[in-house]
Order: sequence, then structure tokens, then C-alpha cells
Amino acid sequence: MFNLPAETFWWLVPWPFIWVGLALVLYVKLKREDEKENDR
Amino acid sequence: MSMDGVIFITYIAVLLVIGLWFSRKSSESTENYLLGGRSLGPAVTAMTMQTTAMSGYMFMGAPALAFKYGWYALWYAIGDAGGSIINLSVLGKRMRRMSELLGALSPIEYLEKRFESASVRVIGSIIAIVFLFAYVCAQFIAAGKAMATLTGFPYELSLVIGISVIIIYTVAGGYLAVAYTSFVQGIIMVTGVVGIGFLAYFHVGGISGLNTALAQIDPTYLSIWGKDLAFYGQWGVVLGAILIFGIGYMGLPHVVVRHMSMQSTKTVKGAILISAIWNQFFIYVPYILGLIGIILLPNLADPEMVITELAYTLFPGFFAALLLSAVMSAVMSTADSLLMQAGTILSRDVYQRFINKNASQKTTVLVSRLCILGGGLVGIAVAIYEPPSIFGLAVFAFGTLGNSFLVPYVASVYSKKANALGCLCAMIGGAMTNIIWTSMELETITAVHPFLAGLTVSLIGMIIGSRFGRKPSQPILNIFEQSTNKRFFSKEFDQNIARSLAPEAKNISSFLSQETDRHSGIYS
Repeated sequence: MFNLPAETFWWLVPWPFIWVGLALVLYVKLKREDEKENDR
Repeated sequence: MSMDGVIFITYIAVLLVIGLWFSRKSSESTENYLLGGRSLGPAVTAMTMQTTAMSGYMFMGAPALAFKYGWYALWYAIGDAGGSIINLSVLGKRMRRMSELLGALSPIEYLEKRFESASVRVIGSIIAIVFLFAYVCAQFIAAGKAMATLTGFPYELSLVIGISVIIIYTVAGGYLAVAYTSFVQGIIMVTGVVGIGFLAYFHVGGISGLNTALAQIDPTYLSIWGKDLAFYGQWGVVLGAILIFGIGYMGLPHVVVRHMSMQSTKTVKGAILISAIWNQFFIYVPYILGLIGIILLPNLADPEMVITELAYTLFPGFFAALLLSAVMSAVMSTADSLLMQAGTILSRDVYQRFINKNASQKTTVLVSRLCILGGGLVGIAVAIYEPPSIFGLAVFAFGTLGNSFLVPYVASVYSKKANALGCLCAMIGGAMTNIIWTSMELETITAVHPFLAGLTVSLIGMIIGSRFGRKPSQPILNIFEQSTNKRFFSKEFDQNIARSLAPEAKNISSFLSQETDRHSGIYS
């Protein structure tokens, strides 16, 4: 995989996807919180 | 005039126009000048937070680290790429609410009001001013060097021109000018880096081609432990490398202030998403360019010039000019925020707090402008002298600020028990540990990164100090509760109240403002 040792690949390469995934999850969570807050 | 010159002059002109555009609005009140009237939306908040955090280090230090150690340097990048997500989700909403409830306009004033102690403000101001100023000088030097490379002017002249532009738009437009110029600079930074990264990517045959070439020079360049396995098994160093940029920004006053200037708590979610996407495009590329430099520039004498050399030797013309404008953007967007914050602390936390408690809004804005101007001029003088180890001092200043303020800021919104003694122990303990760890080079003996050591001591200081010190007062506990909750009254109730009271509130506010100015005129 990209001619990297397996250890380097699995420790470093997934992070951009993890961060974007986490940002999306937080966006949805906070959007729901904001909507609930508006409805109160 | 060459393409480089035209692009750069256009860039400078845009910055000055933004500064002058906001000068009138910024002069209206202290809150407008120091915090932009708490009016920034998600895109500007995300970009100003990230461009402030990403200094000239990203274009000089980061590629140099990758050039020296190979893929190991990417540990710093992965923490950095998630830094804004952690920062905004941990502090964002709560700090925005609490800072407004406390009526705090500067991050140090916020600590004093939350922890109810003037000592916190004194110690906090000293630490912040000393280390922010060291950081400012480093950015000024980087600005002078980048501009000298770009224009061919002597270093001193480049320094004076580049910094004068920063000072003019910051003094004139205050926080709003700093935030909106950062927005423009953020776009230039990501465009420049992605453009040059795209060209370099094909030049070396993609990531696979790059790694094959690196392995032929030295296979340990591909290891997570660094070239020659320099950090083999040292998880304390690796963890510190991830954490310094992953959570360290929560301790930097000039970054933390971005939470206080958001339009509302609803700004947080958009800012998280925008900053996360911007980070993934921007942060990894300077490190990858450092790796490319190992192959394409094997005889490079100064690794900090990897990006500049790549731009001018391999991709001259438009991309070189764009990339070097991006370097200037990174430097200037950090330098203006540092200068703005140092000026804010001097005017709000020193002058208005201890010298002239009854200063009018007009006087405070004027003093802020003078402090920024004075700080900038002293910075230029130091940068012309160019102390030899100033860039290393910038990294040291970053770590020390992070270790001093991270724990107090997080504890201020998450722990009811956190008190003044805990805050003082955390600030002093964290700062001292980082200073001792770095100056005595304890990292090599202990295999623990200075940031991790400082963070641990700061955390212990907060826990122990908060057990023994005076408990927070009831009003502070009430504000704490309010900052964790969402809304006390229904949306309709809030809207009706606001609508009914708006005309009266406006009249009272303008009357009080006129009276305050009249009285300050009489007594001055």
C-alpha cells in the first residue's frame, strides 16, 4: 500500500478519514442539539 | 513588473483595504475592536482559527522535520489535522457562553473573572505577554525572510515593508480586520499548497513512487520511528508529538479568543466541519513536500528552505509566486493575531485593569491601538537584530503557552471545583516544567516529550490546588451551570422579550455611552 511498511500505513494513513468522519458526526450531533434548543 | 510582483502587490493591497474597511466599525466600542462585536460566522471562525494556528512553521519547520526524519514527522501532522475539531468541540459552546456571561473581552480577563483572582490575571498576563512576544518576533523574522526571497529586496527593507502592512491593518481594523484577512489568507494558503503539492506529486510518480525512491536512499525514512529509528519504542515522544498540535491550541490565548468572538453557540458546528476539511487539504502537504525534498533536493544546505527551493527550482512562475504568497499569508495571519492579542492584554488586562479603571471605550480603543503599534515597532527592532535561535524559541513559546493555559481553560468550563489556587498551580507548574524540560534537554533522558511532561504537571497542579484553595463563589457556580445548559426560556419568550425591550435598551445604552464619555471628558 503506497509502498509503505504495513506498520507505517496503518498508523498514519487512516487519520484524515477518521478526522473528517468525526467532524461529520459532531456536525450532525450539534445540529440536533441546536434544533432541540430552538424548539424548547 | 514580473508576475511575482503583481501577485504580491495585489495581495498586500487586499489586506490593507480590509483593514481600512473595518476601521470605522471597530472604533465604535471596545468589544467591536477587541472581539469584533462577537459577530463572526462559521466560515470566518474556522479559517481565522486555523490560519492563526498555522504559522510560518508549517512552511519552514514542518518540511524541515520531514526532510530530517522521514515519515515519522507525520505524527505531528495527524494531531494537527484534528486539532480544530477537538478545540471547537471541547471549548467552543461552553466558552462562548461563559465568556459572555462573565463579560470578558480578553482570554486572560476571562480567567480572572472565572477564577475570581487578580493574581491569576497578573501571572497569566506576564506569561502570555512574554511568550506571545517571542512568538511575534519569530513570525516577523519569517515574514522578512519570505518577502526578501519573493521580492529580492534586502532583508531589513522586506521586514519593514511586510510588518508595516500588518501593523497598519491591525491597528486600523482591530480584531475584525485580523479575522477577515485571515479568511483571505486561508484561501491563499490552501490554494498554494495544494497547487504545488499536485505538481510535485506527479513529478515523483505519486506517493508510491516517492516511497520507492525514499527506500532506495534509506529504508528507515519510511518508518514511524524516524530515520535510523531515532525514536524507536519512544511512545512518550510520539504521544507528545501528537498532543502538542492536537490539543495544544486550547492553551494559546490568540487561538482561544476565537471561541469568544463567535456569533453564537450555533456557529460551532459549521466551524468544526469547515476547519476539518481545510485541515485535511492543507496540513499534510508541507510534510509530504519535505519528503519530496529528500529526493529532489538531496544537497540542500538549509532544510527550512525546502518549499522555497522546490518552488523556485522546479515550478517557477505563477505557482512559485502563489506558493510564496501562501508562505507570507501563513506568517502574517499568525503575526497579526499575536500582535492583536498582545495589544489586547496590555490595554485591557494591564492598562484598564490596573492603571485606569474608569477608562472610556474611546480611550481603551486608543490605548489598544497604541499598544499594538508599540509592540509592532519593538518587534521590528528585535527582528532586525535577528537573534540566532529565535525560530526554535517560537516552538518553545508555543509549548509553554499550551502547558500554561490549556488545563485552566478546559477546567474553567468542565469542573465546578476548579478554583484560583488550582489555576495558579496549573499555569506556573505547566510553564516551569516545559521550560526546565526543554532547557535541560530531559526528553533525551526520559523519552518523554516536554509538552507531555508540562501537561501532566499542569493537570496535577489543577487537581491538587483545587482541593485546597477557596471554593468558587455562588454567582460563579450559577454562571457555570448556565454555560453548560442551553436555554433557560423558550425561543418565543426570548424573542418577545427582546422585541419588547429593544427600543428601551437601545436608548438606555446610547444615553449611558454618552454620559460615560462626557464624564471621562470632564475628569480627564
